[in-house]
Amino acid sequence: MKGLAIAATLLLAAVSACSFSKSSESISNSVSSPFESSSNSSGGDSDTAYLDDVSDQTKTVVASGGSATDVRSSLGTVAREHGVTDWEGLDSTYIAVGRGLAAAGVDDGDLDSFAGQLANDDRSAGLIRRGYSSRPN
Amino acid sequence: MPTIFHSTVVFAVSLAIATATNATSFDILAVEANEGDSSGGHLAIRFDDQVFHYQHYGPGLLQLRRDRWDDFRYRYSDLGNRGIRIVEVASDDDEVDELRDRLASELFAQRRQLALLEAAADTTQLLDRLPGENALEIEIPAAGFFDTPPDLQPVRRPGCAALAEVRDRVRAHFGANALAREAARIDGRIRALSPTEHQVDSRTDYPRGLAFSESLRQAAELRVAIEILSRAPCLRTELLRPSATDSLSAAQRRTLAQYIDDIGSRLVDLFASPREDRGGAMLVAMARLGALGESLAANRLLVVDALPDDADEIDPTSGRVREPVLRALLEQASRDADEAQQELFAAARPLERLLTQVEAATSRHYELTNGVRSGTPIRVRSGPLIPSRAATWSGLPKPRPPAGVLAQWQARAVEAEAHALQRMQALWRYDLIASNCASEIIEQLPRRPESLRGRLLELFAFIPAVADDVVGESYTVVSTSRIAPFRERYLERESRTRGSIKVALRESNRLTSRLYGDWGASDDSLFLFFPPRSALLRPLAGAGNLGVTVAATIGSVPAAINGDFEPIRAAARGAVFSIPELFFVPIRKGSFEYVPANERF
Repeated sequence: MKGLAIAATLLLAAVSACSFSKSSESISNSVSSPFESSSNSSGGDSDTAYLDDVSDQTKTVVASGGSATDVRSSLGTVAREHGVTDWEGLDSTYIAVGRGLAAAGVDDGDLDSFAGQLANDDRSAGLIRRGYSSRPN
Repeated sequence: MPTIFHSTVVFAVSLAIATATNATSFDILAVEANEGDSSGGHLAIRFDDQVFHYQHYGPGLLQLRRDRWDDFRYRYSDLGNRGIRIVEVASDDDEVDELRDRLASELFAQRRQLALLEAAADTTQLLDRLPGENALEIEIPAAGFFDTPPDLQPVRRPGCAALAEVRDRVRAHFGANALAREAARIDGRIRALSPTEHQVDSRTDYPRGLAFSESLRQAAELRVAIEILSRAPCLRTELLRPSATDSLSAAQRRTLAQYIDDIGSRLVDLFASPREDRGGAMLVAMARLGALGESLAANRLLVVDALPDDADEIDPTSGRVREPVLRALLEQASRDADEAQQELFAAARPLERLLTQVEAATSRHYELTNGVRSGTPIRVRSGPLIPSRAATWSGLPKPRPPAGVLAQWQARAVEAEAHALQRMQALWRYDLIASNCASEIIEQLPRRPESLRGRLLELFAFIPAVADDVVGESYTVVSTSRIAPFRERYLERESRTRGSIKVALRESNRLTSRLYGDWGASDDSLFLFFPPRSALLRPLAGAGNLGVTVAATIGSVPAAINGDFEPIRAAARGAVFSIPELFFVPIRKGSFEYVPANERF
């Protein structure tokens, strides 16, 4: 039976393979995804998905040789995906950036340089350092 | 400038980080076949709440996606009506972490690479427009909310005062000429722009720097934001969307006033921020400020329309959407809007994300209400919505290449665009056999099968139904389970309560099926019978479906001759999907437009 299924799958894979299950034009998109709202998270600025995305992106940018300027210019896009335009107004942004810097293997000396360039004040720089120290091993 | 936005939430954030633990397993998710997209099935890899999977994207490329597990399951198992086989695989924690980190790096690097690919095409177009224009004319997202007639004095209403107050605060803080000085600085920056080049070396390479078109658009947005802040116009009231609540309580008015104060402070900060892309954030903040001011003036919560200009439109009168679906969506949209509003007013402090949520939920509810009541097209867009109504802005300065250099720029831009596409196709090529959504997941795994059977199976790893077996050859499988598709779950439950024969007969075909009649997807191909549970009956159902669809295909020819190809397309697709059923293999299972909350997995 599995052989037949595989043969049929081969045939149908050629029709449309690996695309998303529901198109963007579906009426189901007239409401938000049932699992999209902040009621599934803390509703605050500590949303895990936002932290993960900012942290992972920061790590990717820095691991590719990116500078503090590159990290800064990358944050707007990822923040918008979470419904945020003013990422500088969120503590979690700086903490996640610190976490990403740690994941990228930035050493203590470079951390100060990144924190100094990315933070607009001492408080934000402190948050970056806090995120850097809190990354789980 | 300290604001309430900056209030301390460090404890909560640190707690979220501290609770993260290393994992010693991951799941391979094998999604069963069905008609529609990914008809041959799909494969994904899950780490706790994160699901990574590859999709066929654009010009022969594979795109890596990361979705939340709940969302992935809802889309594939509930809406897509596909079973999901979950294979839990044991590994060591370092290997799991490395695998997840590598996929995450690929994800963000690829997003940037794709953005640069689009920016390369945009650069070519912008450079082509440079010679013919004295001044630049460009679409500015979120500038369309403002009432900015070029030759008339802006309208003045009490609700519009907040933006003028922010302008005055900027002048008080940075000097009376601060706005003009900043505008002149941006003009100089635009005139000095020149094309940049980017190199992508590997899948995880995050290209640094901005493309010419990105820099130009960011600078133009900032220039327009400064101009709008200087003029402090009112909003276009036709783009405001009312909440369901009739009037604001005193506490709610205080909350909105707090938001106005916070957004005002953030605007002052943004004006001086080193962010190059702050123009877009300023425009959105100014539109929100205007909407909140209008709300206080009208004593009713009003938000700016959050749906983008290029949202898809669905005609509710076309018969494409079933009435129960529309009704249920309207109910959900109303609930979403109420909940979002309650969260906004219950929050201890202003948070942009809560405002974004209210805007999106209120705008979606507005669209559905109008669609149901008046039959107007319903604009739809998935995901978080940030207000972006664009306006074409003219009179902006344009880059000034030295004499004779523009032609070189244009030629290089065309070359760079072609090179960027070639490079992406080399790195992310989609191939039905060699590199598809299933084989790419297998390729990512650090361990390869060593047994002869495993190596043979690996040759067929591009078939999702086989790919999870390949994993079992190289890893220890801790457990396997299956999430049944929506219809299967429904039939089991209904059979228990109403008798299996009655339910089986009623739900056997789309004419009498209560479930499909209410929630079935309108874009499914034509068919009559659902695949029966009994394998022996499947060829009979397949023969019935084939007969119906062949007859319908022939019957649709006159419509096709008159230019209406949809019926013949649906019938022909239905015939194709009937063929596997003749050989006992049910591929088509029907899919759904909407799944009510009490029916979700």
